[in-house]
Amino acid sequence: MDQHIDAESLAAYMEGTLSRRERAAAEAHAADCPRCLHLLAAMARTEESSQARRSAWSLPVVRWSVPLLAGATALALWINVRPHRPFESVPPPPTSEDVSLPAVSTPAPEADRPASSVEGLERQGAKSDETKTRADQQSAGAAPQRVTSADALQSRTLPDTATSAPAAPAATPNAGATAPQPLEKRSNLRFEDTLGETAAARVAMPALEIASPDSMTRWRVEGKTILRSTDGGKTWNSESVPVEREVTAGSSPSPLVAWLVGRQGYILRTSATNQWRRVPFPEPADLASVSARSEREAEVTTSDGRVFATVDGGQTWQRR
Amino acid sequence: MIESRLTERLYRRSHAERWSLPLDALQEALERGVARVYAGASPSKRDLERYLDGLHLEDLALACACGTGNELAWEYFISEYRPALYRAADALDASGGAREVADSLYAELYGVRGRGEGSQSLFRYFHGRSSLATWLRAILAQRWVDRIRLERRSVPLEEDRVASMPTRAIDPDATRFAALVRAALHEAVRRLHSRDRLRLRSYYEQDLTLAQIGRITGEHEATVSRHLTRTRKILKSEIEGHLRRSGMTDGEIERCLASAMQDTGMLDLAELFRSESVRKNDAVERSE
Repeated sequence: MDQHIDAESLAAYMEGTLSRRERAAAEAHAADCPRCLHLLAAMARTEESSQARRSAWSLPVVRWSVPLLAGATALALWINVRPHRPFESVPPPPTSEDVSLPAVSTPAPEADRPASSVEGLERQGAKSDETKTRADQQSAGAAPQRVTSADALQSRTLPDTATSAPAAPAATPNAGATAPQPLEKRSNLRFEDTLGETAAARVAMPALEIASPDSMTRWRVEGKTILRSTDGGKTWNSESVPVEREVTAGSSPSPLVAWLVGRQGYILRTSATNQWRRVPFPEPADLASVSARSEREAEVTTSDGRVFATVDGGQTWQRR
Repeated sequence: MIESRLTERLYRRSHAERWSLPLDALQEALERGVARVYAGASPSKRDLERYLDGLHLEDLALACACGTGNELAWEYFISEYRPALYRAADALDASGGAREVADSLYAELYGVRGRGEGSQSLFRYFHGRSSLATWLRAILAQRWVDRIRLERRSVPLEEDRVASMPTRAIDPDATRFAALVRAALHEAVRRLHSRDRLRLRSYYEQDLTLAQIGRITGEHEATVSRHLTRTRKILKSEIEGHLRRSGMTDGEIERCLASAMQDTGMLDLAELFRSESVRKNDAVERSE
């Protein structure tokens, strides 16, 4: 894209409705064009004002709660109606301390976990010096330092979500250095943070399992492995595809077809026995749910509530 | 170009009858949008339908009605969109400067020369690819940025900044080292992937917070942070490589980088990018 980004493309860019090609061209242009970078920055600055009066339905906690509740309901239904489950062996209902459920998967290695909360916690300590410095500067009334490339050259880590907390008021000098800092802004909270540690521990993220309409064919994601069962979950066989990112949801419209979605635009689809393929997605957004109608038609919802649909097996996506 | 049955369906979806907007007016707006997006190429029926179905049709109908001077539509537009426009203006400039720009937009939206022959409403350029609210913010941002940049062109060189430039060299080789690092940094930045460069410039040049950068790139702020950290490592490694290729020893490279970091005034990224960025007055805003 040689031309400047016009208002219509700019608006569509910010809403994520540009095609992948258009988006890449706009980004490449803005990366080298001071005016268009300035435009994007202005849009980013005004984004909060546009979100200030969003309805409660668009709040992160509500957005997450819908797929979460749907998932919990599906899990509860599955547990209740699962065939071949002897009634006499039903264990007593778990208490709130019972963290591990029968289907709990092996926890993913730290490196594979999303950076949202884990890294934020890990980095909190590392960034505290920078937070402190900035808070001290403010409380002491010091002139803001100009950020230069020397800053970029230093090896210390960037201010992260841990430093995203508002600085302490000037009336309480050094308070920012000692007061506990909230990890992230509310508007940026994600699944784990929204639920809170306790609630997250109670949920304990069981292995994801989806069933086809005939209920005998099932898929299960355990860590980096996909398992398939054709006898209602009595026996499982490993599928020959490594899961590269955390999978958050799945959908199966028929015994041969399944879609799995996950973090950073990760989508896998199978349309035949043990033939999984990675499906491209236009942006690296975290995907919260998927509803598939066939091997070609599916609708995915991003963690920020946007819905994208494909009718050609994921070759193109259209925002709903 | 667009089949009449499809236009009728879209017309119903747009609730254009609320503004007594004729079908032809909406069809014309739709065809303008199609012509613009496909730039003379003829899309397949399926692609066309997909494009049209993805439009913000209610907003498009409102914009069309406002563009034709429908009083009821204008009244609705003013009551619904002015507060949002003002909030966006305040986010750009809390001192009220951007509100003036927002106010001046209404004249353009109504039609630059007033209603009548030769008037051209800005609404004509809204095709429904985004919501009307976001489009208005984009128009406002465009006007605001152009105004700022125009003003900056007429401002003389910042004397105070020139005066504050370091005049004494801490190290006798400091000037040479800074020039070397600057050249290496320039080359390293140029070689970055455009998305990395976009993040880097947004952070260091535009002073955006990680969350704001995330809104641009569609990433979570933790992801932005991770990418920035990675990019900084790449830059450091590229600079070291560049200096090494120019014949410097490890000791000299270390001294060179230490000297460059000590004398930060010589290595301003904004200057490197040769832009006219606007810096915020308060560095603490970055973490908001």
